[in-house]
Amino acid sequence: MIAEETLVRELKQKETQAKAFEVLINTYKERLYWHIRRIVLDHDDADDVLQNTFIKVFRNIEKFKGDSKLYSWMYRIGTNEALSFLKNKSRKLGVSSDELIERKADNLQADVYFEGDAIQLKLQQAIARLPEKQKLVFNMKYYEEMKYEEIAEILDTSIGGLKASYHLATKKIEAFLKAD
Amino acid sequence: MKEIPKKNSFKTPPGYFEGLSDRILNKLDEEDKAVMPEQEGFKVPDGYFEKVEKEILDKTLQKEARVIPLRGYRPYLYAAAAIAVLFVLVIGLVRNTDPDLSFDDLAQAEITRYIESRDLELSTYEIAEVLPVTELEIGDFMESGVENQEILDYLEDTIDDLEELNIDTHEEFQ
Repeated sequence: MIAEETLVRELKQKETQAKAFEVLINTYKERLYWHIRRIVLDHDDADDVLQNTFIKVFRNIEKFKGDSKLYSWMYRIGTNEALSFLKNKSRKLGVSSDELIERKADNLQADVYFEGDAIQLKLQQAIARLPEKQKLVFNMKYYEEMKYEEIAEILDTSIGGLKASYHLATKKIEAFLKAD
Repeated sequence: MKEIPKKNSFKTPPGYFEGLSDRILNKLDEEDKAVMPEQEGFKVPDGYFEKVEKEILDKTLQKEARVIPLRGYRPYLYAAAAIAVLFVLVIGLVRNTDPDLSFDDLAQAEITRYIESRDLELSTYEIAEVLPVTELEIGDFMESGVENQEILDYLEDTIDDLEELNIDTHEEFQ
């Protein structure tokens, strides 16, 4: 795989930009997609947000100073895009973001791009009911298997706080799953 | 009690405490996994990741190639916008000071189209009001000619002061 510094340099140069951007999309499209999909839940919304994320990355690559890793920066953009998307959508529907995501989770059974069984459906409903930060941390730790250091860089928060969030999230999820 | 030396008789396997935290975390993970499924159940349409790459490239690189950056033209844009606003205002003012539009401002073709598109039954008086009399012949209205005597008879029947009419008509057509 191409070194990150090289990729960033090539992304910033007009002559190499096109090729480097293709490499960037190829490298991160699936990981970013799944990260976004876990936040917005349905495929069409994830597709919108993924495309907007890459477009934003492309437009703002000049501003990337290399203070964090490129993928952390992209994950941060993807996370913000997904959360903003949900806020805008919920505003249009006249509900809160939390309500919207709970509704989405409750309707997953009807989604043609969800083939989970009853327990998987219930897990998504449990995650949907978590506070925003716990939800993000849980997904990034449990499904994306990221290290706390990586999550801390993306969410710009302390590792101690993340561990507490993850612990609380798992306890709440377990309680929700055992509820009936 | 005092005779018994205060010594811990228990011992642990070698290296037990070094890996303890990891083992606890692993156990926690295993317990969690026993309750929570590892698979989520989400899926994507066939060939989605190939398609989305092309779509993003179309929206960024392809679009970029066609776009002329406006940054360099920005000062001119402001000037152009100001001129455009002034132009619109001036046009508006000029139009507002114009006299009301008259029938003469309409193109002949528009009048013809209007008349043809509607089933208008215009009287000769209405037509006379519209069309310039100097360019008309009586035959434009009537297929058969009108005898002078008939005109005089008609005028005698309808006009009170025939003399006055003659004077006016005479003056107008001089």
